[in-house]
Amino acid sequence: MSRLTALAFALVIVVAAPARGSEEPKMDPALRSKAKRAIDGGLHYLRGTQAENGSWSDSVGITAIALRAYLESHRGYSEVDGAFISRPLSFILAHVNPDGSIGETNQNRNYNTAVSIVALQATGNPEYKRVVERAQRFLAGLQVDEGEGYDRSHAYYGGIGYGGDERPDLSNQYMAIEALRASSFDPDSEVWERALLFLSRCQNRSESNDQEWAGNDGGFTYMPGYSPHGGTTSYGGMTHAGLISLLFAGVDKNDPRVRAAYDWIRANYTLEENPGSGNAQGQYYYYTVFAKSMAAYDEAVVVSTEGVEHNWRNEFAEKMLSLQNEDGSWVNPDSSRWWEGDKNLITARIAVALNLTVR
Amino acid sequence: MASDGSTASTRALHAVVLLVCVLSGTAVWSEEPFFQAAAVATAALLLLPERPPVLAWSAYAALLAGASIGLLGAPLPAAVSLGVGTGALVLLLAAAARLAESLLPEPRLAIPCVAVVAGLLAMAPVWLGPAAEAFDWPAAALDVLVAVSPLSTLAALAEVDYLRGAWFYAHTPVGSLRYGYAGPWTMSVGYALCGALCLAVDRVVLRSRAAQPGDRGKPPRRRVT
Repeated sequence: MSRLTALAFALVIVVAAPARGSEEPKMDPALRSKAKRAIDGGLHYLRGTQAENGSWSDSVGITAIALRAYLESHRGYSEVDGAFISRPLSFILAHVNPDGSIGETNQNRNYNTAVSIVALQATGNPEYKRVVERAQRFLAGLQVDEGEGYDRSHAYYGGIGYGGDERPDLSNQYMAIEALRASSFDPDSEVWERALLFLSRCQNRSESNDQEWAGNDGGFTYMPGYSPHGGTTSYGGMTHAGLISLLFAGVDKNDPRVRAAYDWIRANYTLEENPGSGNAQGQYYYYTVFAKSMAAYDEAVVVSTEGVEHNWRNEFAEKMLSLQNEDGSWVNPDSSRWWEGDKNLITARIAVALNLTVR
Repeated sequence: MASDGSTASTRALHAVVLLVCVLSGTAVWSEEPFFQAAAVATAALLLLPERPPVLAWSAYAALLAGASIGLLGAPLPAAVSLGVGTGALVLLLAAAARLAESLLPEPRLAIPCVAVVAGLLAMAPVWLGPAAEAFDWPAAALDVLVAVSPLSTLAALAEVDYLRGAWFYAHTPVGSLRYGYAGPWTMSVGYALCGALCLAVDRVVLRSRAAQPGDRGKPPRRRVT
């Protein structure tokens, strides 16, 4: 080897080394492959339980989430792939209501409309633009504000609820924000600012929460002054939902509200339970929002308060693989609260979460 | 309107008391029209005269509910629906009270008994909700649990998902389970039919007693007021 060749070789190594380091995979490749197979298993399960009309569990909401799982999967499914995609779309579109909402009942109108927007948007088909825009307006109209007789000082102000009454909560709020973000809702709309006010009143952070009960652990509770797990306890499901909401509403990663939420997640990092809940209720909801918020926050490694490094993608995939049933489905075996006993719903949700994980 | 000597002044007094109940219920509970309807139904039950004239009393409650809900700002269709629904519910309650008056050894207990049963049914999602969650009731059973509450019928007429409202969501897990509301008109017709059945049974009971000699043939005792 001549000197020149050796020099050139050394140069290549020097130049390539840092580049290789910066492209360190976010996820263990072998685990990514296993996770993709797990997604395939979940989607296969859903194919088997899909009704003749394309729906799942006779629900617009569950159908929309399952459809999203297909459309966002590594398989790249689209409408041209067959009836298993086009029929659920038709089912959703058949349930578009005159007020712009999408759903089969007057219940859960926010959830159903929000997840339908995300699914329609995931098709990338501009034909659904008008339906999506009307649905956006419906969601925005659900927001509690002066129109319902509330002023800014009211704890409900800026919140969005189920749509069956005026009680807002963070879970519904996050679903609506996710849908508005996914469908590129007007970034200058006052909806975002009002939503942030409500979000601040769900966070245990007294510097930004003007409610008397506000604590200071940075986590989120279900709604101002109430947690289904007791008092105003911060818990995992809502803290991840809060983090997603802050980020999707345009708040910077370095904003103190975001940092406080992320610090709570670091202090309570676990995939063994929905931290703060004390039971199995909402466990799979937690898994879903965990993956969504971590993907949105976009850090490969979470360093816990104790200094332990967690590659959340690897750990999440491993956990979901361990929980998957032989038939490819997922379900909460310990609690049916929040519909977690419905295999179609939970399988679709986890497939969506794994899709985000393996990207 | 009422049998055995109820005067116009007592009826007027009833109306005033009912209206106060509606307004109190509105102020204390919620601005939701279905709570106002529930307040009227409750007042109509508690103020029932002895041997109540069921049809007239239920029509009276329907009118009062519809009018007051309309005056408090609800849209006309909602006020009419809730008025009719309240009337059907009161028809059942009044007929049940009348039957209970005939059947119970102590007729004074008729209205309290009906009120307790109605209250238990209205709150069924609250006191049976934990069992529904713990034993993972199927969707159909949950639907029945929701349907037995008269509040559900009034809420469905008002298109309000009351089980996900602040108080109920905090006090029963039903709001976090999968359930549906029965068709409001189905339930209202059901109430009216059940009320008619109660009246028919009451008539049979009275006739059979009239046919018997001695004390058993006497009409039911009157309440002491």
